[in-house]
Amino acid sequence: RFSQFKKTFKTNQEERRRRTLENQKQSRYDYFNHCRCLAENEFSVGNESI
Amino acid sequence: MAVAELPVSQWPELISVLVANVTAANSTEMVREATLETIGYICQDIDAEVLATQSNEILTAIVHGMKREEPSNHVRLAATTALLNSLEFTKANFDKESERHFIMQVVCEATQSPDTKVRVAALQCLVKIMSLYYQYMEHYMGPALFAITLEAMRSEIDEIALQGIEFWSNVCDEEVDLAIEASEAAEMGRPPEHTSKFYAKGALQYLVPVLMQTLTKQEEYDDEDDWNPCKAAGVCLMLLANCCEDVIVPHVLPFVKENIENPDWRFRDAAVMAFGSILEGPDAVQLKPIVEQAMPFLFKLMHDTSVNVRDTAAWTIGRVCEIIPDAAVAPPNLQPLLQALVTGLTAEPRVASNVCWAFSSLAEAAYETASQATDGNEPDSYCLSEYFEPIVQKLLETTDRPDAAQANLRAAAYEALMEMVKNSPKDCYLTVQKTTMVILERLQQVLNMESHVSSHSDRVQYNDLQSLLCATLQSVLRKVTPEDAPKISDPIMAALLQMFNSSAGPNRAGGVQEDALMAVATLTEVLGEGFIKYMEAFRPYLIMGLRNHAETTICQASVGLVGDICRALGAKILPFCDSIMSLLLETLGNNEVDRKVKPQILAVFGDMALAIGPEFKKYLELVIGMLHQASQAQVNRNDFDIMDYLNELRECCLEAYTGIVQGLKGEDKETIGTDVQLILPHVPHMINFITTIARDREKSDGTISAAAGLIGDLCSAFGHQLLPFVDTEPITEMLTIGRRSKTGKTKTLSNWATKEIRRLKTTV
Repeated sequence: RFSQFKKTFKTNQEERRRRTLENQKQSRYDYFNHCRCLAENEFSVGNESI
Repeated sequence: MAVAELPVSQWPELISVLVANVTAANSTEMVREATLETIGYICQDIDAEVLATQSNEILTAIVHGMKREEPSNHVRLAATTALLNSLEFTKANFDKESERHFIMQVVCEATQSPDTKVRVAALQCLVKIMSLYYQYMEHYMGPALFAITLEAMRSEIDEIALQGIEFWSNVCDEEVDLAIEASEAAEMGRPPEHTSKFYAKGALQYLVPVLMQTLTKQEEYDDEDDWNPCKAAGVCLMLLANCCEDVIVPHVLPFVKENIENPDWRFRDAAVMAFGSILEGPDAVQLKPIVEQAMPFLFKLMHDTSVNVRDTAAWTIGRVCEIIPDAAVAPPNLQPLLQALVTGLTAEPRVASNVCWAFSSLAEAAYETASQATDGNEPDSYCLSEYFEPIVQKLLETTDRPDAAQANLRAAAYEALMEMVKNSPKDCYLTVQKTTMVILERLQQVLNMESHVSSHSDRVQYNDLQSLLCATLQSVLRKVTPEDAPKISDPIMAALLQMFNSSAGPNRAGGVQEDALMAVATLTEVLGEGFIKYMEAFRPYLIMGLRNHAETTICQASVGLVGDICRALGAKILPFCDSIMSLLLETLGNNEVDRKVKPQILAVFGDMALAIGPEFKKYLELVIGMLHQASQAQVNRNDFDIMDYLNELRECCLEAYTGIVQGLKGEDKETIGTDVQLILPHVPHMINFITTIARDREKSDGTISAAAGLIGDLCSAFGHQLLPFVDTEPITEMLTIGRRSKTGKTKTLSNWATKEIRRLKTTV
């Protein structure tokens, strides 16, 4: 309950870690779908030939 | 000893001996008390299942010690505490009506004890009973529990009032869960297993006045680590608003209106607190006009003579910005709001910290509103554009305040800065560029300070600051255009390398290294192939991270970063692959490494395969062997955490297979290449694996999505020969579930896989 009192949104390292993992998962998904010609999000890759 | 021996069926007579100690007519007070304490400790520390078969005996002793006739308060307290510890394994007794009545009677009687400690322990029992056995409480709620807990809430003794409030907070938690269960059941078209009795709604008119009264009992010089009825009442009111929604508003608003300008700061503070607490739960559309009316009062209270009131006002404005942002950014309020917030940044650290949070929420809401009009694309401008630069400037100044270490202010200010930058439209780009340079300068300054850091507390602050600067760097880098990124990447990478160098040294700081690794990950994203020029210099630190098996977070961040580098560099990563691959394999095979790193490694195999395409052949047999092994993992299905892990492991295996299939398939859409033929012998296993997942009733949405993706890829790589493998009942059923998923990704991939299978069927 203590943490619920005057609770505000706080970003800590754990939150940053979670966001990074989420971002990596999303990038992988976008890359796969780029290869499947299913891309929903714009995806730019270093290797232009892919 | 009991905790060690009872689970392995040793010392079988122990419980009987203890029970006899309590119930024997000639037992002394001291023996009864000590025995009940012993029973309490055993109940507290032992696995509940071990004692379930002996719950009758244990309860007999406990109830004997709790009953009204027991002359000693010490014995009653020990018995009540033991009951509190035994509630988890006495389910069988609660299931029987007569036994339940008896236990409840004894507990309710104990709540009326003249001894405060006994009363508190008995109330704690009621709180826990409410959570564990909500469905059985109907019989006791009206005649007993309601009156007992309301009386407790009114008590002058803090410990008793806290338990009374906690009881109702727990009721709210339970009823919110039950409301979720009911709506999920309704969606599935079936009745819910458990139903809410809406006790909170029913009791609202009695609870709210007591809670608001309690809100006025603030400590003037409150220690922020203290817990008291006033704070508990604030939390309870918030939970009631979440649980009861719209109906709470008329119970609270009159108090707010009457007291928001009360000459006594305690009442002003309570009024604002009550208002802030009910913002979440009731319908935002209904609240919006009320909030708009209240805003000018809140602005005024930001300058209140009492710091407590200023703090609560800032928190409430933050809540408005987060929950009902439309009321905050509405034209008549926006300018005075920003004025109040900017001034608030110079207030006491606790007030300023809440203001930072308000800026974070405001930026997010303003950006979202603007991007809705542009179909989710970055908007040209938004309602904060003309104020953007001065706000950013003020936030930068706030991070530098000499007292910014208090009340988490520095972190809150950097956080607000990150949110402002992340949620900025095109016309704020110049400020984003300037901010990038400021952050870079600060990073360099901080690194130059390294040698001056001496004390432990300085070191902690120094490390926190480095972490925050890395995190801010990520948010500015994400906004920098692809043309600008290479212009600033050299000094950024130089600073990060210096940071790796010093954080890996004698003053090593794992947290800083992890944040620096995350910053490198962002840099790879914005630079793409351009990151190659840093690879030689960065390689030693990447290897060090991959080898850091003792610090899971660093190892995991390094593994994830390998994936990012693969995506950024594509085939250019090839010269680095042998060394990275051998480290990944070594980590995977090491039993001392935390298991959560392993699924990530598997997924990264897929990233590498996709990056280097046919060159992955040399690793193929080894990697496929690893995936085969991982995909056969069996776990204890009663453990939720392990089940989550199993799903994660499976999802990552599927992602790895996907990367390998896509990588070896190449770009040719029509003909089946020779490289991909190398996978053909492994297809039956992949299909078996997918079928195992399809048949698993506890499969996650993520595994369905990844399995559907792999099915589609296999179809497109191998064409007709795959049809008999994928046109099966379990796979068809899984794809049907996937097409109905609420998650967009799962829906998209399941539709795509279904179409790929259909395409094979129709072109036979």
